[in-house]
Amino acid sequence: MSNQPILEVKGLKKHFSVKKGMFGAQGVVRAVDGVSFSVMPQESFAVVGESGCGKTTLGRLILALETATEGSVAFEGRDLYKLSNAELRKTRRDLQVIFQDPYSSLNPRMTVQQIIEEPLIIHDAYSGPGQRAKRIDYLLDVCGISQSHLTRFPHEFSGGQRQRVGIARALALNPKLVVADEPVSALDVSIQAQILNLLKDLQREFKLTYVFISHDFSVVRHLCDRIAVMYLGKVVELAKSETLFDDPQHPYTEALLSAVPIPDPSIEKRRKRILLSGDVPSPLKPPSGCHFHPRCRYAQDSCRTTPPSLEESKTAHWTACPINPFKEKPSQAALIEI
Amino acid sequence: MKDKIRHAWKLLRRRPASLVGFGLIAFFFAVAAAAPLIAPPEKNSRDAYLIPQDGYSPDPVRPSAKHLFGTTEQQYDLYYGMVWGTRTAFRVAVVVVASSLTVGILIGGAAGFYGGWVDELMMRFTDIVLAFPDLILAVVIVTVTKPSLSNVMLSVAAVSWPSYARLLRGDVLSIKERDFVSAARALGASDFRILSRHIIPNCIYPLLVVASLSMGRIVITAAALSFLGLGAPVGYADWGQLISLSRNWLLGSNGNPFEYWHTVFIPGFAIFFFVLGWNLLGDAVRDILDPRQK
Repeated sequence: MSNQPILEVKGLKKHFSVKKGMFGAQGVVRAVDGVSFSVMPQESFAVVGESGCGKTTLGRLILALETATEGSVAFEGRDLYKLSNAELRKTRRDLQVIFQDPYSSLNPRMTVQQIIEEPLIIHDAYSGPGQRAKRIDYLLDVCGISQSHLTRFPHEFSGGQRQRVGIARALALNPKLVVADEPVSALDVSIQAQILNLLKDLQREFKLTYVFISHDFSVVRHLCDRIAVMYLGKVVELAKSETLFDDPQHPYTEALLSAVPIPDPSIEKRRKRILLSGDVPSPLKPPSGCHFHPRCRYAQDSCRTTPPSLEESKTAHWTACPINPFKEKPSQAALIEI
Repeated sequence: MKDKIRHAWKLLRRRPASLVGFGLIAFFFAVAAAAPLIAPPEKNSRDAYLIPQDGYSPDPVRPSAKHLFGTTEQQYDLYYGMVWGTRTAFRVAVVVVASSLTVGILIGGAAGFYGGWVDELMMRFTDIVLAFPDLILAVVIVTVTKPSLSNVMLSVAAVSWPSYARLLRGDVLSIKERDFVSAARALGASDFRILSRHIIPNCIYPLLVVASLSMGRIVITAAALSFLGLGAPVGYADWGQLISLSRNWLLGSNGNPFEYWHTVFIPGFAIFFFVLGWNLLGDAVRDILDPRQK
């Protein structure tokens, strides 16, 4: 592993303006509001958060499918937003995406063959005689799709099979970075495991770097090296996977982790859940100070006024909570009343 | 391809109404194709579409062995006019639908895909055209450009494209937000490729259904223009023209209202069945083109 990050996100912001009513004032939704992190080659980096926290927008920004309001996304040291259209399109072969909904991510009018072949045509790759067919064969093989499915249309498949086709399309050009936007959340649990294992195998085979977007900690734990937790457009905690699970430093992470079931009935019975009161606040009118303070059980007066910044609270463990309620007690143990 | 035809036939058979539509259009098509055989033009005729006249008497003559469908006023042979008029009907329908579809796809596709001021500009222009009543605008265009069959086609096309543009724009707006379009963009596909391979194929089918339905409507509009004397020159084989020749004989004579029935009923029913055929076929087209129906 080299020390150069493959992906560097700096101060990324995406604000959407929303009109309220016909003559209403313009509101601004800060979908992504100052996010910075970097991802090393062949690392699996997870972005976790509730729906509406801006994680999907973040994924689209990384892929340059949206333009940022502010900030930069550098892929292998080059700012994607400063590339010309032609350069950007060339760079895209290294930068691929797997979508959440396998029903809308495949063109219903194209056969599986056409879908997997399209990236090769666009970038004129594997253009020698017979090479394309060979490449497609290989992709089918590694993604676990049967040869006989090539002439079929997406609607003839189940969700899991479709997701395999979507993965084969993403890998067709040997990308370096794959943004996986909730790749398994639309699937059955049994299929989820299959696809996650497939993604893990493919990472080894293709030397991939993943940015894995999810709302589900148990999915992420299985696959990822580092995890960033997002709340209302901001990263509130960023740490190595094990440390985040063992020793969450942010109250929001603590609450999210307490909602993850433990696969052991005797411990599960004693698991104490921290119920967050209320919903995610409207991103149109986020709370002052720390966005999380209205739902935080450790909130103090200062939380209402001062927006926290992401600080290194332990080595390689970044938290946006100046209160730091877990300084003394290791939290996971405290969650289980014995 | 063979599979596709077999599949289309299977769907067609499942619905008798579609089959009737298919049969009607097939019949008209056969008549149009066989026109020189079943109604051979006279040897010295300059243009096969000009209906031969048997004398110049103003009164229509009833059907007889010599004139299978009788004659209209001024002794135009109705049978000949009907047969060759079928060709005119197809030509008007196909030319108008093809050209208005092309304009509609270009304008609606660009408006929906690019959005912003392109959308605003194109859709307001579409609204302006839509604000005129179809027939009135067509009449104005033909009058300004000089009455002729090609100007009839031009004017009908000019009033037909806005509905395609509107329909397509709406579908493009919804399809372009789908993930497979984002996926294509993430693959580095060009705008043209995204539009032509991903967006248009997914919203063209409602358009084709409307197109096959409007084949009939276009023939009616064209016939109306001919009826108003704005279409083909007198004596040209065109159904609308033949109905307009019957204008003075609609009421028959004193005590016999149906004396000249053939001058109205024959071209009238031809237009009726032609339109009916396309309408019934329109539904079938929808079923055949939808891959989910397999």
